[in-house]
Amino acid sequence: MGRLVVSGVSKRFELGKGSVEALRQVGLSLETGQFGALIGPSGCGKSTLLRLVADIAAPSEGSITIDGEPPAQCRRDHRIGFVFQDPALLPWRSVLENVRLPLEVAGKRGVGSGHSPMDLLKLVGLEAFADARPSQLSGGMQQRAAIARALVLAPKLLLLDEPFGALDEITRHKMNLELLRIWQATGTTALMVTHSIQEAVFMADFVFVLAARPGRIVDQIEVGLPRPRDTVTMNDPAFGALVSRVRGGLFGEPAGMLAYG
Amino acid sequence: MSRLSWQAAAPWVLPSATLAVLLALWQSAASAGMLPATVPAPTAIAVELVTNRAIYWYHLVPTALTAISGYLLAIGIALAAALTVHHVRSLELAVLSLGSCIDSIPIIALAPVLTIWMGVALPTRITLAMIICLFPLLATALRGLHAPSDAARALFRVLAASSWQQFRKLTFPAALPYFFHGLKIAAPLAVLGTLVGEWTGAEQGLGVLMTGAMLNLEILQLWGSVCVTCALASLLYGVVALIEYFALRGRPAGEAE
Repeated sequence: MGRLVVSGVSKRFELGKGSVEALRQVGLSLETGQFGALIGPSGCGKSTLLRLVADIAAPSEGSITIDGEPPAQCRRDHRIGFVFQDPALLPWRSVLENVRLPLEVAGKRGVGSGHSPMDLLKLVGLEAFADARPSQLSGGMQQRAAIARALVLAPKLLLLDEPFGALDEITRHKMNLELLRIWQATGTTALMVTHSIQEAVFMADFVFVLAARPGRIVDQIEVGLPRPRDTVTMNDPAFGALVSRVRGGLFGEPAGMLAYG
Repeated sequence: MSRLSWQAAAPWVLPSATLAVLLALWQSAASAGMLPATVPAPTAIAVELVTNRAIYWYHLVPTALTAISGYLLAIGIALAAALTVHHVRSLELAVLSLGSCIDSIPIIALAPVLTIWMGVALPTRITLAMIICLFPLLATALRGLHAPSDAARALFRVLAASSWQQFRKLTFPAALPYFFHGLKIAAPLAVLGTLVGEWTGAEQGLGVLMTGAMLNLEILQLWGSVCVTCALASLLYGVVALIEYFALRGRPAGEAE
């Protein structure tokens, strides 16, 4: 469960007199349990695409389906988990109460309809901080709590909008390893927006390279690297080749010339 | 005293010590005969307050009740207006303009107008107390309702929360520090509004006592009524601050600053 299909999606924003085309004819698909990465320059509409998939906004054209259903249905069924760049934890709730929030909103307090908040805190390594306030946590820990919150309703689809963009590079790499472990433990489909080429290749089964004005997909790269991946994966020559290909897609150079350069 | 308990006590110790030093200076200046006859010694005021406590109590009660009534009325109106504006955004500019317009009229100028219109009666004084509280309450409530971040609002959308759930679990708790900010500003203002109302005419109240003492050159009674008024305003502020302390316990400090 969790097959995502985006086809022919365009999004225009009306701005005063004219309109801005944020996305033009975007198409992509992910099978259940796959990890997709969206990468592109600022303003290429990658965050917008994520918001369309989550039904935070509606596309101007095209269709999006999750297991054949429109995103609005999936959202109403509480089957979408979203991790924002800003952890957006509620400061008046403890960490555990923050993770429990989606269960409260969905009216599912019982066992069996989602994951236990405490189990998820264990999964993200925050069980010792269950009663702490978000303000007592570091940025990386806050984002881990936000991931636990996004997973508590056992979503079909986990959407991540530059979740570690505000963290330093070392912490970010550790968090990526954590995220891969958590994602594999849950088996959910994931789609992540990122600015980092290395991060995209390291995490994903498919990297979708976007260009700006208008936002569109210019390359789709299948990453066949074996899982589970770890820091050693980055030393694989195939990893370097894939990074070069994504870089080629981003900067417009022919992929072949850079492949082993 | 250990370092920790000294730090905990410091916010109380310094202001109390300052006040004590000022009172001591005032008292010694009065004993040395350095003050004009219109400024009595602190001890003389204290004696006056204790001796004539029945008079002060008689005038304190209606002032307190009027101020609290106007205050509560203003809270109700401000919250209703803020919630309406929050749902009908196009009204925001109109309501805020009207609010700031009313707020810009000096209360001392509004009092005679209202008295002529509504008469020398309790509703006039409650209205004055209400009006002076209204704008700070409205402005802080509106600011509070805007407090949730874009990400937090998007989160509640992804969770398919009902608007009532979003209000109860996000908007209201996020707005609380701002509400309390306004409540603390407005509490002493309610006393001021009531006092001005009583100056323009009333049978009973601290404002009546104050103007009467001024006209009759009852120096001690004038100072006494001023002290009781200050105590009332501080008490109202203190009660609100105490409620705030319990309502916002455990939150990071300085959210609404």
